[in-house]
Amino acid sequence: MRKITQFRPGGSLVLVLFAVYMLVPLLATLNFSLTLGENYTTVAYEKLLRNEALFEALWHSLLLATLTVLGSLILTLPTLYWVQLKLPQAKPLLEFFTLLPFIVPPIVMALGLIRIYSSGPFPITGTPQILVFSYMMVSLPFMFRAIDNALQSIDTHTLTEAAQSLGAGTFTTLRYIIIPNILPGIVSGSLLVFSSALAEFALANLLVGSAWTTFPVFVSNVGRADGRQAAALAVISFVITWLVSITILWSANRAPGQNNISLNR
Amino acid sequence: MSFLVLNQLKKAFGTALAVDNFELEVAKGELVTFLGPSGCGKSTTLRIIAGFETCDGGQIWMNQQEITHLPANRRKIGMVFQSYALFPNMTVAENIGFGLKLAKEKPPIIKKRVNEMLSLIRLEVLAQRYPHQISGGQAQRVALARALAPQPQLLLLDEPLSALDALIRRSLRAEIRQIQQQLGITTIFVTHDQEEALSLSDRIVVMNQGRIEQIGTPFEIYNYPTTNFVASFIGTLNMLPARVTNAAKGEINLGGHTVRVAGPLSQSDNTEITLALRPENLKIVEVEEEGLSATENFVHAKVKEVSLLGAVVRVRLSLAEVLLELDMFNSRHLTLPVPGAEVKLSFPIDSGLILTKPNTTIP
Amino acid sequence: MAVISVEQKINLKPKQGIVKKNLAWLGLLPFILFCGAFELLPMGFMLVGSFLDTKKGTFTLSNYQDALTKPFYLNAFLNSIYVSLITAGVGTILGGLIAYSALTSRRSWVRSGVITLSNVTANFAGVPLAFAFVATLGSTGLVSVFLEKSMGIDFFSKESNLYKFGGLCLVYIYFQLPLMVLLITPALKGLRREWHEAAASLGASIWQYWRHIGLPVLFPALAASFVLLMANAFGAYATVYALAQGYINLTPIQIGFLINGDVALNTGLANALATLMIVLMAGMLFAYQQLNKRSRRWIR
Ligand SMILES: Nc1ncnc2c1ncn2[C@@H]1O[C@H](COP(=O)(O)OP(=O)(O)OP(=O)(O)O)[C@@H](O)[C@H]1O
Ligand SMILES: [Mg+2]
Repeated sequence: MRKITQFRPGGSLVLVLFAVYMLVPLLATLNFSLTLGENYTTVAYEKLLRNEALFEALWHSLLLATLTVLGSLILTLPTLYWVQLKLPQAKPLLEFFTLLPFIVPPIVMALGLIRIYSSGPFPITGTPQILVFSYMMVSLPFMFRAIDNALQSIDTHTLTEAAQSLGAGTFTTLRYIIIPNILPGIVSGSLLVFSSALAEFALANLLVGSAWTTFPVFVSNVGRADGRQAAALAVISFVITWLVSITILWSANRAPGQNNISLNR
Repeated sequence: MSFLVLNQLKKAFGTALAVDNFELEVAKGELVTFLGPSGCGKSTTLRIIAGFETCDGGQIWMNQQEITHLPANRRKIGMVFQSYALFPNMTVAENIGFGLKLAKEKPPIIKKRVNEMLSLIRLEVLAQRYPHQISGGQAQRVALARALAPQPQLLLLDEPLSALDALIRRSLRAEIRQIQQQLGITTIFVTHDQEEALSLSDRIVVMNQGRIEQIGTPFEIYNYPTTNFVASFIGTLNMLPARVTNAAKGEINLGGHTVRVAGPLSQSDNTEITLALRPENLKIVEVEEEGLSATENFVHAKVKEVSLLGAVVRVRLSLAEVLLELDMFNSRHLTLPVPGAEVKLSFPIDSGLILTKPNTTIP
Repeated sequence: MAVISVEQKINLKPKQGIVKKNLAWLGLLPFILFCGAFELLPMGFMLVGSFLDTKKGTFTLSNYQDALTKPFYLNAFLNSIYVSLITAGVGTILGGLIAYSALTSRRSWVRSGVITLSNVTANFAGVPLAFAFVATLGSTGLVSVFLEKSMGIDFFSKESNLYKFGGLCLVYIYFQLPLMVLLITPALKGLRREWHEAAASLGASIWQYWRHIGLPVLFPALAASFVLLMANAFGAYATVYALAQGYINLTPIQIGFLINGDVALNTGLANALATLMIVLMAGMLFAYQQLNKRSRRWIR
């Protein structure tokens, strides 16, 4: 007789099938990228490494992801602190704004963004700036949730009052008291934003395209011309995703209660 | 044959024995408590009886039938958990009626029985509340009603009062006992609180490291412990180092005084032993006469500290180098001992327990 | 007003308090300006644009008429709904089972392994995932060649290939499953062992436990996860763009064509399609809230 709570019909089989489904495409892709007919070859990787555009695109994406994280932090952190402290009644409004990017697909947002920012006072379509701003918008939910969770888990009010009773101003309190205390949440949110900015394709392709190529756009352009290089690029992308995800997991373990889910679609 | 028979139950987690050779017979309508320190295997034994845990050896008999291998949901055993475990998606009434619904009772019958149970626990007004809308004490009463509603053959409670605060704990303890006696349901109650065990049990099973130390009525367990473990686990004990001076006459040396204990000692002369004395068996006396009387021992001690615990006054004294505690009843006319004063103590010769090393049986 | 609030009675200088409160809103200005410029404004333009004729700029309903009657666009819409419903449904059910099997496993490396695998694969989507599936199930893909050689199944035949609907579902499920595992794991951890045991002691079988307690308790989390998976698939663009541009007719692909294509630049129609997508998503959210009404009574 088994313990009643250990009831799991076909549990192991389910898990094995899941692992197969998740791993076979990865292994098949690795194999595909390394074979030519019956022979083993690294020609796809060599071609890629000789392509300067690859490094340029990688650099663009890293820069973009970093700027997005910084922008998102500057926008979200003081606002949330302020709301927590002075304007708790404004919370639902902020939550509405952070829910929108979840519901409205990036492709839909791209439509309006092109209209507004192609001409007029801010003609930034086709430049990296529009990507930074729109990525900040798309990844707002991740940063917002992470920092909000962190702020909720510390007693912001008492900490602030204690700091101010010792003579600290708002900026000093934020810089020396609040930020160090919610650092795990900040790191966790930043990594999620970073990872989603690194992999974003729809907005980059529609808003900027080849004017300033990001890594996913490069992958798409090169990959559609050459299947073997496409497989090699998928492998490289997977390695990058894997590295970022492992870092996210590691940081989430150090910040209990933090999310580790972002969406790339 | 008794209503519930546990025969040589064994359970190991990995290499650690959680329950070892557990033997117990429980009569119908009896309330038995399992008492012991944390991790001694109380919950494991209870969960084996309930059918949540398998046992590695032994049998369980209930009502002349072996149920060792019967699945939990066919045993007709009610269970109350420390954490209430009310179903959060059901109202209080739905929680109580759930067992009857599973038994395919008709709705009017369920309704009637739920109302009966609600009035038994005096919570009629909360019938439509959800578990998160009631207090811990109320939740535990609902859990009790839920377990009792399908009229189980046996009721198991695993530390049902531990999550509650002291005041509610006492009143609910009395309520559980009263309901149990009213329904006459055979009950096993797990606790690590000796006051709880002593106050509500018909019999107590004291456990330690997966084994039974002693089974007996609260009176027997408290006053006639049969092992060192039981003696030191139940109540407060003064543990006083002493030396056997005359084993045949039962005389020992305690801080320079010769005192007697009941009966001859099995230890040889000059063995170092421990004399265990309950604080309430010690008395401060005025009599002049020293040494040995027929039934009492007399010793000198010095008052160190006096503290009022309410109904009881606890006096800390030093006897030669040894510290000991004495309890006396509080009253308005009591003259409190003064710290620093020399006093005379007496204790009955049969009130002392001789302990050698831990966990050996007292002869 | 006849009723004077306690605050007003106590506050000696109510005016100053109100001024301060209003000044506090100023602190939100950057955030609100940003969201205005990059969320509300684009959506406003989209909504207005959907009622304007692309060429003349006059008011018209023809964009919606085209979107809802021309078989080409209507099919795209239906395809999008099907693919998101199917992959969200499969993802919710199988992902839930996977998470449950992993959490109840006695081996701790199984538990952490499934979580790690899910974390990595949930983030592996879009263009690279499409290429990975081409290398696996495409015409010369490893698995399709293997299937053809060993079992004679021609995966790349006219009817069932990667670039058709079924293949697309397989690709979407690849990121839906691990996402579901991550979404539902906290809720599954919240199912307490004692509930199962209490139910068993009251006579419930395993199925009765799941029917009366397990599933109702999980329902809000399952429904929320389903909606999120649905939105995830409904808005997905990169994966299908890289996998089968032009082969599979989905609304996001149509929108991309209409604003970026060299042939058919028709922003009015694109706006109408986008607005319809949002209306559908809002409908889903509304349905979810209605479904959840019952649960909200017992959720803290
Ligand atoms: N599922 C399990 N796996 C491994 N070891 C266990 C398990 N359950 C209990 N044990 C071990 O068995 C021993 C007895 O545990 P049990 O829960 O019965 O103690 P207890 O007397 O109820 O203690 P407490 O008063 O703390 O509830 C403990 O040492 C415990 O660590
Ligand atoms: Mg226990």
